[in-house]
Amino acid sequence: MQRAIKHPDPRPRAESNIVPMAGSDPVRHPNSVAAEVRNLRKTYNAGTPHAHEALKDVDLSIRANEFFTLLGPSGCGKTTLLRILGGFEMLTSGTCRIFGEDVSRLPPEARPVNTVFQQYALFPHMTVRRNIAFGLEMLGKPRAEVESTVERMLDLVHMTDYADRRPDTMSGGQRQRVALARALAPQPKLLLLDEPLSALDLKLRQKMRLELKSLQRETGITFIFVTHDQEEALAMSDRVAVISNGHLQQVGTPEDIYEQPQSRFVADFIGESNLIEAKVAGVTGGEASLDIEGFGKVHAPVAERVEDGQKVWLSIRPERLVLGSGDGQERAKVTDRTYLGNAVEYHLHVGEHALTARSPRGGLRGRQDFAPGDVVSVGFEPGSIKVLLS
Amino acid sequence: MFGKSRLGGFLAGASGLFLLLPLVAVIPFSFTAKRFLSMPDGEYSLRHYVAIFDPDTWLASIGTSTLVALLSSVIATALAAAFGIGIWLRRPASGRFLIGLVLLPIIVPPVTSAVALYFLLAQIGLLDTVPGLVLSHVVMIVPFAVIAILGALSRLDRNLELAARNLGASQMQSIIMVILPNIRFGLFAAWFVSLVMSWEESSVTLFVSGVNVITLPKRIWDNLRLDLDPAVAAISVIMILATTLVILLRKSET
Ligand SMILES: Nc1ncnc2c1ncn2[C@@H]1O[C@H](COP(=O)(O)OP(=O)(O)OP(=O)(O)O)[C@@H](O)[C@H]1O
Ligand SMILES: [Mg+2]
Repeated sequence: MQRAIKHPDPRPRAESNIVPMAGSDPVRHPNSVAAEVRNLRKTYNAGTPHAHEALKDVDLSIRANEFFTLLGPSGCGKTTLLRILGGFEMLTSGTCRIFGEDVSRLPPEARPVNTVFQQYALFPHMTVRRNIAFGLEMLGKPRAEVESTVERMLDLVHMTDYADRRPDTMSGGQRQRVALARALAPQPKLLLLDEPLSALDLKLRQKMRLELKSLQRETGITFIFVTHDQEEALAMSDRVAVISNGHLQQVGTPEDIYEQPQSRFVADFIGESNLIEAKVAGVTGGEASLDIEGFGKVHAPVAERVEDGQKVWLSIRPERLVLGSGDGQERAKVTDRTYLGNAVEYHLHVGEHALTARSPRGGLRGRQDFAPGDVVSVGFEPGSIKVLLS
Repeated sequence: MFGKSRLGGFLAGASGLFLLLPLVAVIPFSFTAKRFLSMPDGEYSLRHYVAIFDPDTWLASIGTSTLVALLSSVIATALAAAFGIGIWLRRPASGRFLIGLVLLPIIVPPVTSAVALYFLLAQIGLLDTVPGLVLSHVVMIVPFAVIAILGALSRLDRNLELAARNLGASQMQSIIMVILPNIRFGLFAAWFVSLVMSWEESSVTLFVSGVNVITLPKRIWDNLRLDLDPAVAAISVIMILATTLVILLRKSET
């Protein structure tokens, strides 16, 4: 049995009341770092034939008051990273700091961190009210304070009417709210959320997205949010970390991640992208001339050093392809046309390459409709081509 | 196909009757007016039921058995809970081995356990005492309590414990406030099984007690061999009734 480390009140708390109601000041920790991991590695079953490297040399710094999202496909190590921050899993090597304090050896109960679990993990033998009160009682808060905080939390997540129900008599969305209230009640400085919306239907998910986002803004609590849904990540986050296969791929604002992907994985995983192989055919002043087989030359800025003849990848978003006809440059053949309601998607063949173009209807900027079999010209909006080396 | 098959009903009824027959057969014996175990011939009497209340013999043994069963079932349940929760929390590499070790008394022939316990109790001077008997019973029934509790734990969501710890509960607090309440049915089952098993334990009991401390099964055994006292039949009838009552009560609960 693990020894119970007793600290008087081991968990540094947010100073002000996080009454997320009108007129209250959210907690601010300007410029401070909420969580930081350096050279973090996690190997499950190390030293056995089943050894599995779930995290490989991850460096990450999460600012206070930030809505930070860990995004990546299933099995890439998101939950592992969250579990290490929460203290449920030991790291194999590296450091893990929360608000400056090295927590690698602290048990979960001594960390200023609360978690909303993927399957909520509400205590089935307790009412909603007792569930929410649990964390406060563990902190030894006086009864009156516990009760008033619980009422406030119930109100915050609109669950006052359900206060005396048990979790197993409630819907997924209701449980999700209770789990959120339970995690927020002890006023953690850092809230970890492991795919909390994945069990909800689309409508509710979209509604909860907005609610979570505004809750985060109002309370000022740093959120670390895990999802494999890129739309969710872009919609909610201040910054996003894209993880694949235990490697940190890229960290940045949603705009950065979407507009400036730095690897094929990110370009492909976030939104949709046309990935085309090309050869460098000369660089002048930060701009490269790139040769696409069967299409011709295009120009795009390159940040890194590239050499003539080097093989690179070009990433172009479907909505930034411009189709046209009548200019004598027709080189692409429309193979398919899909009506999407708010846009029309065209599948094209250009030489060996299959491309996707998406165009809002209405003929803006000369966009017109095409049918399968049409031969069209393909252009790229200025600045739409990203050169990727990996 | 057989729907409400008559044949099926007949077979079930017949085999049920076959199983019950020995139990039912004991009933008339208990009402004999004679001093030895026999069918009553025209004369019926309740004297053997009255004999049960003799504080020096039957009643004393009922008391001893009750005391030993209560003590050993509570101790066995507590030990099994500690063991099960420890394994569940830690998931040690040696977990399967440890569980196998604890379940060993189920596989080992009772006589072997009895001899081992006999020598142990003789060493520490607890032979033929209530504590010694309780200790022996605990060893014999703990495996069954462990099975009941491990079953309950295997259905428990691990995240509940993590959630409790995450909300500031120490390991001990999370066991008391979250784990135990959520395996309460398993705990009750473990305790009940232990109680019944201790109550009817006879093989080890015969070895480690019998002069100063006489449990009910031991007294029945002695009586059948030496006295053929019809009180044995009376006791059996009462136990059959008690068991039936418990089963009926449990049925009406669900
Ligand atoms: N306890 C464990 N023992 C061994 N391997 C594990 C363990 N937990 C996770 N893994 C492995 O580590 C990798 C990362 O798992 P993790 O749970 O962090 O993924 P994830 O990104 O959260 O995926 P998902 O989106 O499906 O929840 C997976 O390949 C998984 O099989
Ligand atoms: Mg996960």
